[in-house]
Amino acid sequence: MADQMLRWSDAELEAALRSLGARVAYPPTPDLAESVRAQLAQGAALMSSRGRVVVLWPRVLAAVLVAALLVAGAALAISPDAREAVAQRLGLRGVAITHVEQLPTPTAEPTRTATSTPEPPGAALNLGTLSALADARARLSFGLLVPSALGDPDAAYIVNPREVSLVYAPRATLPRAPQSASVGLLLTEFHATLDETLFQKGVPPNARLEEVRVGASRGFFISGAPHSFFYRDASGTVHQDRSRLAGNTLLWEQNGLTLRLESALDRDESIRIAESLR
Amino acid sequence: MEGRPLEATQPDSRLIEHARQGNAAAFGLLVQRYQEVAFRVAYLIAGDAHDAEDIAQDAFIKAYAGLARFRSEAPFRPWLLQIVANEARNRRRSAGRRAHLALRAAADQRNAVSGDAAPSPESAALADEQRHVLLDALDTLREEDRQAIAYRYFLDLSEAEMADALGCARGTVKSRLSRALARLREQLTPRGVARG
Repeated sequence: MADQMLRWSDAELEAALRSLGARVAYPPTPDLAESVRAQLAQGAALMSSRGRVVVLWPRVLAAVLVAALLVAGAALAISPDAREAVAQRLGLRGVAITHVEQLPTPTAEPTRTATSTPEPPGAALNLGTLSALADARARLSFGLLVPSALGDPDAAYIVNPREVSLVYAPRATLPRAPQSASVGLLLTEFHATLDETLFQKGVPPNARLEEVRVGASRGFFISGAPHSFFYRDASGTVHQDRSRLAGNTLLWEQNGLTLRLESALDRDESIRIAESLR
Repeated sequence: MEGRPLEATQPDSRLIEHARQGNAAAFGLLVQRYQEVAFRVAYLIAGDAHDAEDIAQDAFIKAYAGLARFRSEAPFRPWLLQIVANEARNRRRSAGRRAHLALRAAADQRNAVSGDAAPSPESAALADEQRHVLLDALDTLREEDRQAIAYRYFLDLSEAEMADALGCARGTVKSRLSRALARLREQLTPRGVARG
């Protein structure tokens, strides 16, 4: 037998190998298209299975993620990596959403007694310089938007000409926001550039991040668990704010602005208010 | 972003172009097109169907992540197979597994199932023995020799694809393959077989 094989010509040896190869009973090829799609939707491209970082092409990945989110319809609990990936291409300038394992315990805004000197809502949140609405409009480098559903805010704070926060006190239709007794809703408007992160959300594992539409714009709604909040001050330093609102958050872009609406309101109500911005 | 519906008959370059623009369906078509060869290359190296599935899947995901640096005029399949082979080798190295054992099992199993493939019991027996001798000889080869042979004769890869999968220059594929065949031949000697 082996003797015979030893006399094989090259062509015979090659033919024997091909014949051997033809006998290999490969297991049935699994439907990888489906599993790859599912993995990409979960942001698996960020990490290989052994945890090595894989260079992403965020635009493409995010498109897949968004497609997956759309397919899933409403809420979709997505993996930490997917949150990261979504954040990389939220299409929302100045916004980053980061997965975090644990959140710091928020320092609640001090409870004020009835005899306390009345302060404007949100005063304890270090949102910036308290400004009259007209002053704020004058100082800002962009046209301030105000939700007509709520009317003029109870207070406005300016950080710099590119960032303003409008605060609405709690009222019948506006429940108190989770971590601040004096705030029902906080709307922050940024005129961000593409490459800067003005604020960052730390989204814990049990929070939900879903894609929504705000008018014609794409937005994201974070809900289900408090999320920590990072912001960058005027000097560019990033802070983790331990007292700031961490309720449900709607993020979207409009008129070249990045907008953030935080409150205890649900998704639809948040969107309704967001869509009333004028 | 999705544009008009894509057809499965589109050339690779077109699908890649769409995938780069974020069209996930386009990449899905590429996966469908190459999943079999990717899975088999992974299987030949990993020797386990489950591992091969993971490897091929990861390879596609890495390919997707790497589309940005892929030269669009280059052929996709060799590039993909290179990623598959690298992934499979890395995993097997860390798992310390021997792939050719599974290959043998697969070949044996195939024989058991389709014994009627041979014209007569006698010639089937002969083929069986030759096959075992060949497998034994392949077992004794270095991995790169065994892979060169498997890519060429089992999976029918082109020289370009072999070069990418083996991680060598295209000009050296022929010489690598003939060297592998020569070593295989050496192992077909009684001494070589006995050792296997």
